[in-house]
Amino acid sequence: MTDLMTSPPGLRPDGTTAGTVPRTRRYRPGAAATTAMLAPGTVVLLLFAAAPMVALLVTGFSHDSAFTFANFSKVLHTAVYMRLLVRTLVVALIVTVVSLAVAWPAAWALARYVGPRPRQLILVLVIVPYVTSQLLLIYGFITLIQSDGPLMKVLSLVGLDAHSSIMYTPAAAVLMMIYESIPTGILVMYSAATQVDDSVLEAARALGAGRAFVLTRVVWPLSVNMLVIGFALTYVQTVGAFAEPGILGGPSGQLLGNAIEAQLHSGTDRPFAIAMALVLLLCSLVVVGLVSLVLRRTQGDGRSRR
Amino acid sequence: MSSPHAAHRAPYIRRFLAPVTAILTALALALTGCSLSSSGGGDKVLTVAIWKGYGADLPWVAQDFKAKTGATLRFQYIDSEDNLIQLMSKADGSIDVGLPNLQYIGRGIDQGVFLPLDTGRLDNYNDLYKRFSGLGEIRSAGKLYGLPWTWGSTGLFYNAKDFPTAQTSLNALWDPANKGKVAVIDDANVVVPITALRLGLDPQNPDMSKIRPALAQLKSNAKTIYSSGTDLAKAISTGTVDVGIGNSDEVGGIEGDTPGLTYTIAHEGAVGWIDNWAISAKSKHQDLAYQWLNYMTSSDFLNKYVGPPANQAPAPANETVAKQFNQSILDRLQANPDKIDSLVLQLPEPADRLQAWNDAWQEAKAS
Repeated sequence: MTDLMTSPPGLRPDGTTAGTVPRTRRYRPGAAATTAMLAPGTVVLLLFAAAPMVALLVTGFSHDSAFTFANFSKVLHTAVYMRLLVRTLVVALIVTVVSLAVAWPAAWALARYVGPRPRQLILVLVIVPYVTSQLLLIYGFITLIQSDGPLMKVLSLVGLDAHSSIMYTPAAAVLMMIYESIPTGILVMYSAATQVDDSVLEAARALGAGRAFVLTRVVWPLSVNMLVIGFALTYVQTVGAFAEPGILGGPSGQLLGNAIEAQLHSGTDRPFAIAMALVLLLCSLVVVGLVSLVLRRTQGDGRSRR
Repeated sequence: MSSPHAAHRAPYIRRFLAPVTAILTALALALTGCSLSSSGGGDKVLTVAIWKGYGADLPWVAQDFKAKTGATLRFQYIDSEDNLIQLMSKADGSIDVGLPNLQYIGRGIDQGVFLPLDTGRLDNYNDLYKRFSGLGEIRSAGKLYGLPWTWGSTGLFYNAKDFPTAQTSLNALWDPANKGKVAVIDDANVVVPITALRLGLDPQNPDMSKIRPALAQLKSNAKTIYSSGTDLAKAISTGTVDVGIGNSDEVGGIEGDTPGLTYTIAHEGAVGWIDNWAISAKSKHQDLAYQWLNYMTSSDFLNKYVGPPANQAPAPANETVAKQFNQSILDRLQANPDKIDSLVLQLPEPADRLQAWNDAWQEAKAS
């Protein structure tokens, strides 16, 4: 209450703002300036996202120069590819949920309990994996988890065999993908955490709300939108993984991405590989759509009960 | 109706558009510059399509070639043989030479991608193993389209430290005693013929109903299914795998760092492959392309290439050069001529057969 009485709304005791900005008259550029601002991004998206997607669709629906559903039919009617598809969707879901569950508390702490200087340092460290080659990250991870590696030597102190390792198991690939996804989760949820105004939390507590109530009825509804974004970014990025399962996952860790890669590499039926990729894309978008629908419904529930 | 900000809009737009225009102009100039540098290089730029890290792009190669011809090299990296044929087909002559293997060169010949070679302009043609230079797969209507460059095999390797006796049979890969110690290359084009050899089936057209269960057994014995030589080296150096299927050149490159590591052609045989240089039918630098083919198959290049084990060089198709190597190099390269006849060469196969192999291997991996 002291803070509420002495600090302006949205201003933390350390003097930084927590998401609210003083309302000022907004400058609205004209149509020409707006077009100029949108044009470069639109052109890039059309050239490098929309055009390749159209090319993929055309190729996926072609066989011997004829329009056909045969490639998709083969994907959907071949047990091995359906098994790999389901495995991939489930693994990506596990990776996404775990990485967001780890990232969210870290992001919350970073936004609220860490001072500006250490926060900046930690955020730089979080960004480091983005500017590091993916293969370098994977081989670094291998060095860590391989038999007789640093991790196994530490674990041997509590009785585990230092010569054993989770290397070449599906668990290794899943761990690696979680490790790769956590920075995305932290950055997105950090943004969510900064959008929750301190004054709202203080008001809830002042009105007698307990921690659980604040979390489920205040923080959750205010964070759901960013959570959906975090889920989408992490899930779509994970679902297409092939390097991690290929290098770390061992004989039983293969995902559909590996089958697509092998199909493209064989050069025997490129349209079939593209059909697999499109089915995977569509299914992952359905999963993202369903999850965001469910999450947004919980947001609505939270708001109605407040 | 003018906006309250109309008076400020024009300067704002100018302020905004100025850097955007500058960036776009710089981008356009850069692209034009790229275009000019490639065409401006004219006859003195040779574009080579090849796998990354496969001999031709070693740093000293460009220097040597420039010293000999005055030309600079530009590399277009490929990620599959199919990719090579497609790139050279669509490049419309902007890729001058490529390196199709024996299994895929026929596609390029049929599609008119490659130039018929004049053997009179190939300085080292008569020095090649006759078994390679005489192959029908690099010819069409009596004309030569590919110049054999390197060859190798994909077969059995094992670490002698982990086996009391020499391993001479592919059975080692399926032996339950080696479960969890086997490395398998992730290539249906190799594992299916290897499985066929082990079962005594025709490796070019095996009965797939017998291959499928054997592939599932191979997968269940495997510790890793690897895609790159780097991954294999990692698995071997950490002692994770003791036996497996590997490329002779990749295993040869690792042998020096791993005492006991042995590559052998099992008594059932191994899969053989040959990579061939081919010139684009639309190349505008044919003279330079012939010079490249002559340089790549020369004693000068090949001796420097096979020297350091780290280059993971395969065996040269130039018999005259290979005969000059000492025994240790021949052993490392698996370039002993008596091995050639025990190889099952990867030959052109119908697309539906290769797809059936791929499906069977995917099925085994997903089991």
